[in-house]
Amino acid sequence: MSQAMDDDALMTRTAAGDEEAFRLLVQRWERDVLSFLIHMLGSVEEAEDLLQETFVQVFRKADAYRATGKFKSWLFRIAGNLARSRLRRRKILRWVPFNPVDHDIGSSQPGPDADLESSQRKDAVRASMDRLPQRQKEALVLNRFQGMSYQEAAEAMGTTVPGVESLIQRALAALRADLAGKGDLL
Amino acid sequence: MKHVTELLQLFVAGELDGPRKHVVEEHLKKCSACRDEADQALRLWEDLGSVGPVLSNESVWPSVRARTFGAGSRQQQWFFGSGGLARGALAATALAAGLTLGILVPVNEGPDGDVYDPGSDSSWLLESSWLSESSWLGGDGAPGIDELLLGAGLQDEVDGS
Repeated sequence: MSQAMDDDALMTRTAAGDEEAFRLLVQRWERDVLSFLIHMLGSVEEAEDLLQETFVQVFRKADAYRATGKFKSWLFRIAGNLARSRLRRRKILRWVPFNPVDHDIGSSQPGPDADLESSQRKDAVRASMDRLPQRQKEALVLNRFQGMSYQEAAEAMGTTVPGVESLIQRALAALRADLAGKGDLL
Repeated sequence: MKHVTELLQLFVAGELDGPRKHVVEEHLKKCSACRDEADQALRLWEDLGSVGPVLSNESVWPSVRARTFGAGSRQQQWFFGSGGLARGALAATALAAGLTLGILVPVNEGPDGDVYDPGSDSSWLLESSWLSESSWLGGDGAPGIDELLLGAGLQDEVDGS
């Protein structure tokens, strides 16, 4: 099967029962979705659990998917819905603190001064992100970490482009204000 | 001079459309304060890009496959997958109900062997069928069909009066 086969074609074949097409789709997108879910949930274990559920949902909804070239938005909408559902179940409205140890980033390890300063800055940014309201963080993660355009993020979140723009703008303003309050990190 | 502070973060994110991007670019050429702001915005944007989680190389595919293709065909997945238990219970209930009705409801013939016609006079059904027996409702003390119909306000209709 061609490596270049686009997502819509793979979804069409998946809906027809083509296991190889579905495998390609899963392996093409799993890292992006996992990264998104980790940011959303703050837990690798839960993110991996929902990653699996996301693709099972993709499989079950394959018949209903309309090939309009918007697979990525559709996929992240499913993942986002599952993550929000999980967060509601936890009965929390805020993001779970992002623990660098859980994420194997190693940013807290001591090193040369420059590295230390860099890791401290990253930790500060991460901590500030954890304090963002859920929708603001979701928009920011989709745009900055998943490389989605505002249009794609809007489709994934079920909102409008100006809505996403507003969310990201407020998120970044909040981050800057938060980080500015921590001294000269920025 | 009107500053463009609110647009700078969108500018460094590459999300400004043509006209707004042009306004910001022109403004930055002559405003050092906004250039400093833009530098900070760019730094934040770059910092954000560096805080992503490190992911393992292990694929989720084996687990996903076990829950999709591994579970059988798509048709089986539909029936036994999500909600399949409920569908199975519904099917079993419907089957049991059908069998029960098949046992209890008499053959659709009247007392004289007439084929039952819902549009015709149905008094024969009340006079001679099991419906006229009160015992089926629980013994001698149980209400008969007349009482039941009276209670439901249907007696006049049955009597034709």
